[in-house]
Amino acid sequence: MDYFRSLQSFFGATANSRPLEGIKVVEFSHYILGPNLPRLLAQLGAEVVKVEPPPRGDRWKYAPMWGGKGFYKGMRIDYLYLNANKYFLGLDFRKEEGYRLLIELVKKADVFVENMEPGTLDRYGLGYLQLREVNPRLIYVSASGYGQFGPLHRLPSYDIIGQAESGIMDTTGWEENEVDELYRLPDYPGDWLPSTMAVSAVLAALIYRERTGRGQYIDLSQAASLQRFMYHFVYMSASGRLKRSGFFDPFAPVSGVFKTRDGKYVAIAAMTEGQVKALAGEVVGLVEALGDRWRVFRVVQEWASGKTLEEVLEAGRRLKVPIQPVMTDIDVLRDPWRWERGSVVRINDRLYGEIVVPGPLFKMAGADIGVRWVARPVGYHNKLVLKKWLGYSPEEVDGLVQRDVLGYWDGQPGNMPPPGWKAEEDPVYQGERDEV
Amino acid sequence: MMDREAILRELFRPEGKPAALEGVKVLEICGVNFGCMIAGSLLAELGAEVHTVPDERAVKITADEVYIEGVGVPYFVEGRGKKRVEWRDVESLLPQVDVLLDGLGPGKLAERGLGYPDLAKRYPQLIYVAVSPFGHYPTAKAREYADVPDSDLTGQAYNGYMAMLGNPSLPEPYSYPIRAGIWLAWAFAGAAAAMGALSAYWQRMKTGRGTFVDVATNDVLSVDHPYQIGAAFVLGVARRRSPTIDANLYVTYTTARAKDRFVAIASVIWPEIEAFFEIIGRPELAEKWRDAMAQVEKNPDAIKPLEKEVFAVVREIPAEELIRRSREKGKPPIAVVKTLEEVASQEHWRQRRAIVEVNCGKKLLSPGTPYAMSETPGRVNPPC
Repeated sequence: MDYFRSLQSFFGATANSRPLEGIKVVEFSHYILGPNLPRLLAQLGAEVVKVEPPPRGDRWKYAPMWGGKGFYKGMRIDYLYLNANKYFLGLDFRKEEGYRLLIELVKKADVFVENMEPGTLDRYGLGYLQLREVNPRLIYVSASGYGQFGPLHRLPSYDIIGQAESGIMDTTGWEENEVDELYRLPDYPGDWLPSTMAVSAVLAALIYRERTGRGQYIDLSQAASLQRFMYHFVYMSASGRLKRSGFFDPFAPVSGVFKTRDGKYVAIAAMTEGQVKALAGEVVGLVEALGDRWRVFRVVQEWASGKTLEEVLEAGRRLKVPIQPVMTDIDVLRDPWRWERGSVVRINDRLYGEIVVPGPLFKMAGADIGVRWVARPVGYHNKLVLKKWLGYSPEEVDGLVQRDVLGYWDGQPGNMPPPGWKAEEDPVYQGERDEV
Repeated sequence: MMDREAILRELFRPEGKPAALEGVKVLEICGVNFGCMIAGSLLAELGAEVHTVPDERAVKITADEVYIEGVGVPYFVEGRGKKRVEWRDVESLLPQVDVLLDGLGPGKLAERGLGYPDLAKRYPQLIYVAVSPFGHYPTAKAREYADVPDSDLTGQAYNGYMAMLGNPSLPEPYSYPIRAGIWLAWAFAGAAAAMGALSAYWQRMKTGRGTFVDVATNDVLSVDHPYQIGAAFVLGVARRRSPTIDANLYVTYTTARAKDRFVAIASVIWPEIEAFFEIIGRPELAEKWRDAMAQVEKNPDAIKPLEKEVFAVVREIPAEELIRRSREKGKPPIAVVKTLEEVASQEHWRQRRAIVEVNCGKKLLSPGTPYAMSETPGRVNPPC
């Protein structure tokens, strides 16, 4: 039987189940590094409550992306994705009653995630050393640039600082004698990659806790996470400095980005002797050029410039050499493979309506993982969360709102329900039913 | 009374502690797919017992013919702490294996009778994790590229990442899209595969059943990052590549050449942007910048003259002076862009075991582990 057809039955039988159902997470974080970790846990089915001081909360929601064009029905598009599948609680933890409420939530939680500057939450009685006293089974994650200990730990960080401090910028771009510029890696990989790696640490901690009953503290450092993939340190100590890579993969004998006859960019990476040999059957002068990356570039460029992108891609398939187009954003969005696979999905969000969202990080047979709803404004789930987690009535929640312990969004772009929304007609907002 | 850092330093001491995944058995058959091998490595650092069927072609992959004890530089790192086994050992190992990592490409293990459909019948508790360019999930492209191996460079390209990196204003070919200096697509693929394996393991603890997890190197980065899809969805066009001004925020979230060396400037929100203009002695530029940002929609080049002016000012100020001023003001964070040599010499990363020294015939530096965990510290497995 055809391999792909035989797999279809496993993926076809999608159950309405998710691996982390039953896991409760309290998120106390902002920007990207902190929120992405709970986002991925929520994608896998964990129940994540994002706690924000009302009315503004996580300030990342207000950043005027793309000259103010990044908003979709009042919320920023990437914020909607980054905070998908979460529940939003607008809680002022600096008030005594708010603090006590948060502690009650922590007692119910399996995981707590924060990314304030190191030591900040300790000052509010919400550090690991304090919270483990109220919940010894808690898995507590602090995410920061440098980590919670070590000589540099007090320094503030963003993705770009993590990049600068890790050394990754010194691996990227051109050698100084070629181009005297140094680039940040775009789109904040110093946030996305470390937080993605940390999910495995949380899962491992849950598995360990299942065996032992013990929670623990996970100290995530952006820069250290990036350094994990910097083989440059080995190379440097074995042989001297590895050149900045430009568009070359230094570990591939033949690689680079090339321009095709129809003006498109294409990436080629022959990683093994066999792949190089296959390519050399088509590219004149390749064997003679090996060992000199610019000579290799010139002969491959000569070859690629005589072909259209499609012809170069066809050669890759025929020769079994990795060759792919350099895609732009719009290419990614329109790519039929992504729609077929579910890497790009159009969902009908209950609040914000039809919206295109990224799919899950992987496909899992039999599990329904992915975006079920996108982000909500501050405090949107106050009634629902406190009912589900602590059994509060709507009246009790209203009382907390009157005492400014709980609150709601400010209505600014980035923090509002869609136009036309009516509180009295929204049963989820009223705490009467769940999102899905 | 001990201060917080001293307490935490003690709390995170790794000596004598167990690993989280002790007892979890992984078998990796990755071929030359380092995304797959990275997944195995991350699981090994968390304490899993990882068996690997090495592929000599992967072992040989290196830069400039640099080999350490017979293996290339990437394998030196990603082969750490794994037990090498032969193909003939696979059948006898399988009954005890919790996670099988497959990097060979769709259908390749099936040709040996080890595909998921067969193994699921024999070992229903098995967690099968595949890493390949277009996935095993049945799609037209997965079929079309089933025989084409994976690579990081093509992963960075297909994910839309390279299109945003580099300076399009330079002369050719320096103006072409460039890559992140690490195997970024494979790092994401490996992290996703490890996450998939452990979430499936957690599920199996509840249900007793294994499952199939499918990672595609060519989409993983662009589903984790929300920008390629989100920007195209709301803007209807591709973003413009920008080497300095952030292509999303249009602010000075950037590297810049100071008087003596490059710095990284992290101004994200408006108070930080204002503070940045103040510390470079040009507070009046803040309003001009705000005006320019408002015009960007109609005129994408509106910021360019200001950008030029700002970078000219920064170029006159020594890096340490910029940092001093930013710390004095409390924002925005600014840091010197460290060279690899500077990073390697910093005690901070040694203390955290992020960079470690190993003795393999000669003393070498190596990435350690990012997993600082108080009860079950990540393992830095010996590479030799």
